[in-house]
Amino acid sequence: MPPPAQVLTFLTQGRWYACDLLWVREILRNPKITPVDKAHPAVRGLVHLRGQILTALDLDRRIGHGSAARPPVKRCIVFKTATDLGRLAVQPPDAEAAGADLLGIVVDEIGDIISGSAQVLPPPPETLSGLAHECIAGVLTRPEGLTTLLNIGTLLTVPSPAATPHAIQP
Amino acid sequence: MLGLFVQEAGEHLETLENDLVSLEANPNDSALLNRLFRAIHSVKGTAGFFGLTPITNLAHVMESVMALVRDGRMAATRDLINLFLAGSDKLKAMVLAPDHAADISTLEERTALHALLEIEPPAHVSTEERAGLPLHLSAFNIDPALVRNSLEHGYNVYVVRLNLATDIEAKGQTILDYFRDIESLGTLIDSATDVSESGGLSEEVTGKIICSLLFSTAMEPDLLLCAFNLPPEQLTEIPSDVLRDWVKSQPTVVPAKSVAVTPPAAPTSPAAPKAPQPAPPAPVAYPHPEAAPPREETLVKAPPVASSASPAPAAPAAVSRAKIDETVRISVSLLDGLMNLAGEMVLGRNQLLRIASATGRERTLSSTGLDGLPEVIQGISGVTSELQRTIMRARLQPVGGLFGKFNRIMRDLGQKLGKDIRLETVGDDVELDRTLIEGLSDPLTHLVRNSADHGIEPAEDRVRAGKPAHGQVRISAAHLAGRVQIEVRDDGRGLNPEKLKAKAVEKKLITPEQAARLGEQQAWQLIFAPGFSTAAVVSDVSGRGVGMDVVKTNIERLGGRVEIQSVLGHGMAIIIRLPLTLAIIPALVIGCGGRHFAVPQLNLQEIVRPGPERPIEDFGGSRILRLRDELLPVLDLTKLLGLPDVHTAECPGFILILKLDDRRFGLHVENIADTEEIVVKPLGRFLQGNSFYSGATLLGQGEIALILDLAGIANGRLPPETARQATQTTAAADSERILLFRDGSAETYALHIANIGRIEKVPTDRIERIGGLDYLRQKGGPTLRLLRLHDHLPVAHAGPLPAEVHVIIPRLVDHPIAILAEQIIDAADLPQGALDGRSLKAPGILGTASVQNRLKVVIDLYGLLQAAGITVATRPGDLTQLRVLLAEDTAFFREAVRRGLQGVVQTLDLANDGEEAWQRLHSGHYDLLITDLEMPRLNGFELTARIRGDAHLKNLPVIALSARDSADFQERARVAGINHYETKLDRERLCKAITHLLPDSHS
Repeated sequence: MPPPAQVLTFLTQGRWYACDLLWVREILRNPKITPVDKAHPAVRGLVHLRGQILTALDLDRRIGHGSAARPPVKRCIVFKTATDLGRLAVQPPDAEAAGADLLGIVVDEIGDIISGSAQVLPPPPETLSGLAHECIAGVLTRPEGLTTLLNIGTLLTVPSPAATPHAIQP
Repeated sequence: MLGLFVQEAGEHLETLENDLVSLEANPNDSALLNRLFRAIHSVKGTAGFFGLTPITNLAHVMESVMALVRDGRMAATRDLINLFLAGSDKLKAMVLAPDHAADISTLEERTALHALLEIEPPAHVSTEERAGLPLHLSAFNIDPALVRNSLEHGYNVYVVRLNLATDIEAKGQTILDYFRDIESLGTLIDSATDVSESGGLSEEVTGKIICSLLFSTAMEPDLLLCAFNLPPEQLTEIPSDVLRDWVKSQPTVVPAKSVAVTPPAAPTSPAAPKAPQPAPPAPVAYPHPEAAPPREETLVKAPPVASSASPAPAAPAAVSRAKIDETVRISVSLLDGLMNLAGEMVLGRNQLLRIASATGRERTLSSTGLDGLPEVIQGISGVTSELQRTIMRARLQPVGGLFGKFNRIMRDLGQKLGKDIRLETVGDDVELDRTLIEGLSDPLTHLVRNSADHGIEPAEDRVRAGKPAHGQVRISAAHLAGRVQIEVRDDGRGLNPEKLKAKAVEKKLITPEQAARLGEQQAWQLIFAPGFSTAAVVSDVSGRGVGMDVVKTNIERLGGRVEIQSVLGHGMAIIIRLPLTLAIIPALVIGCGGRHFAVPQLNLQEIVRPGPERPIEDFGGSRILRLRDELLPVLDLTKLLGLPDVHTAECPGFILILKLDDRRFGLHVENIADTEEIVVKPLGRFLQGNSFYSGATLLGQGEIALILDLAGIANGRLPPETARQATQTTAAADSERILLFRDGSAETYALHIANIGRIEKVPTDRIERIGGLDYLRQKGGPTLRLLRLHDHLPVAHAGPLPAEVHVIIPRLVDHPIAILAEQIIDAADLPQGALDGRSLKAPGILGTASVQNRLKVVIDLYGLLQAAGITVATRPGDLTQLRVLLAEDTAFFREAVRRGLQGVVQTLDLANDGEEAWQRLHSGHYDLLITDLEMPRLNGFELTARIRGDAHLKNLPVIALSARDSADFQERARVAGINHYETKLDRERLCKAITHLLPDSHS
């Protein structure tokens, strides 16, 4: 998979991540989250977004960084739906993972938009990182530190129970 | 663009298929034949635009044969229709995969059709056919008849060259639109597209496709260019002598055999039956049993008989179809987007209303210069609601499209099973939400297959049983009380409770002891048990393991309910009741642990507060609530969701009594917020499959509430034995439930639940006293006359009213009235024999009853209305000579009917059950029997069946009264031979029914 032309970086739980900018629909500031009990562990809650309901995912739990803490939600990156992506001239390579439902991830801080030049290293072996390997596309080296490039398509796909050994059951 | 072709041609083929099946019943319906011809013609024409030669070839020959049928030169026999259906299947397959159309062989169909035209198969003709034509015409497949026709009329023939992208698409038209336009100007003889250079038909290359049309019209070239909006170089006129010479060289097409004879069954045609089927049997004469004329009559009359040979019924169908065509196609996502925006608008409106009312209270509007604001907001508010409703309506689709496909299914099934089955569809234009229509497709298919396979008997058995040889299956849809009722009904053998039980025991679904205890209706329910299939031999038609349980689950998932009715030997029906839409449902919003949840009102029966007198007890590990002698399991929502427990003695919370099919259970919640019409939104992928929630919604102020999935919550958490217990209690409760209320005095009143339409809480300031009478103003409804009991009945006078009161709005009353109730106490059961009609006697009072250890005054609604001077309809006809027998097992209803008919009829004798009524009918003479349907010993259906079979009594008019206002009962009543069905406690209508039934009773 070629590296994306532009990526958006963001910080959560002290770690830097990046995602393909093509996937990003908008960023919500301090969204009001309605918690959902007995839901999938990666679900942080629901957000009312202009008449639609968005499922906000907890990035850490989704990729297996098992912090039990749930700090207040500061930012939420909203991803494009299939309809949104359909309007784009160029689509991200994993666009088929988008559906009709609105999905987003909650993060602490939004970083920058980086164009092209960044070098993408292959992801570290799963045994080292302890992360859900399939969600990670590679690693970017940046002055701020190592930045994990996420596979948004995979991230937004509900994993089968066997595929999330690291997810914490509440 | 090709996608559009697939869709539109697909629709043409869909109507083609349905019309072909109806053609079998109405072979001479010219409107139908024209429509068929046009459908094939359109498919051929549009396929030609895209150069889909394989489709064009087949459609062309189908069109030619159809033209002969249309012109009456060939008969539409069963074999021919089979051939057309096979052709239509191939067309469908090719249309669905236009790029691979060439891989599908249509040779068999074409050969068979060409045989009918008595011309050689196309491979031979093409060279000869095109000989003598100018080179630029060689691409066309020309029907000599069309050319001859245009020559005869002196039309000009042109070749029009079109670029699909620049000439059609860029002008904002679809190919279908364009095709319709040119068809209105003249005749399209053929179209051809050369795709060989472009190499395929994918979306990217449609822009380069050049399409040529061979077109015949009376128009002159310049006019035509104007009409087509084309530059002159794209139009070439074909000199008429070239065509004339060519036509002369062509053989004249004649039908294979002369007028209206069966065409030879083409041996190569795969769809033709192996042996020629005999013509559909003529109406079979069978001995009419002399004994039971009324039943005979009802049976013949009732199902509006399927249109046989008469062409008349086809006409309205054509009209409605034409109406449907006048529509605009919009995508579902666009509609959903509109729906979301309307939802947003509602939220905004609500906030605006809140601000306005807050500002209004502070009386600052005029000082801020906003004095017109409330009116404007009210206007916007109305428009917003209307907008939302309108968009909702846009999501509705007629069920006709769904029903249509069953014509074909039933025809194929009939042939496969060797049964002659006629399918009738009723209510094609009833509209349903599109998600419901999609969800109904599979269950209905299953039901229709079941009816054909298990329900309808072989012809010889039917004739032996005195039924018409052909079976009848009817699918109908109707609006009923805010819901949609869909019915699959057959006149087959009906369900045999004994066989069902035996089968269930054999399959070890129930024990023999359980089976012995099951009543008829309970035995019917066995067909919904998982793993139950009644076919003695598992056929490939139905009985494939997935059975009625799946149907039931699917329907329930759609928020619907399934009911069975069956009369052994006469047929059965499966009745599905569905909400109009899944998108908006009435719901109760509850709070729990700081969260909001919505519970569908459909499942909610009542709300109780636990307390010292209604404790939640621990019973073998499960929590049980004792409610009016019924033990209900209680689930605690906070515990289920893992929220901190909040229920304490000070804050006992509420228990929602919920009903889920035949199970009742309580759900303990923290508080009740509101009732609201909620817009259901599906859950995102990470929450799907969650057993606690079925959706989410936005509440008035924009917060999110999850909709509880009650089936999911109850599943596996309820003790199993409560199910049966609950059914028994609810069945008993149906007949004898009363509502207890106070009127501001010390007296407690009781009104039968069957009398009550709804109860509302209203502020007292909406009550006005005009001319000595009380009226209640309603928002958006008629003003109600408000009755206070002490004004009309000899009861204690009530004091002044509190700020809010309840009003009881009766059902089955034509007048806009309401009964004032200061306080609603409870619903209770009126125990058998508890009603004492002697100690307190007055018009408007049925008597007193001791309920919950206190005496209550039981109100006679119709007496009350009369006492209040409300004229009860017109005086019924003179019935004073009538001798009437009333069979009713419930003392309450016996008394109510007796009072209702007192003084109206000469004698009214009472019987406590069907058996007693049967005895009395033999000992005395009666002009009329009024009977309850559900009675011990002998029920109303059986009683009537006995009467209809009795030589002396068979003509006795019978009116059935039932507390159940269900179509199911009405139908069973009709089948049993009951002349009229009336709901209990509606005196006016009962009198009208008697007058209607016995118009000359006084003579």
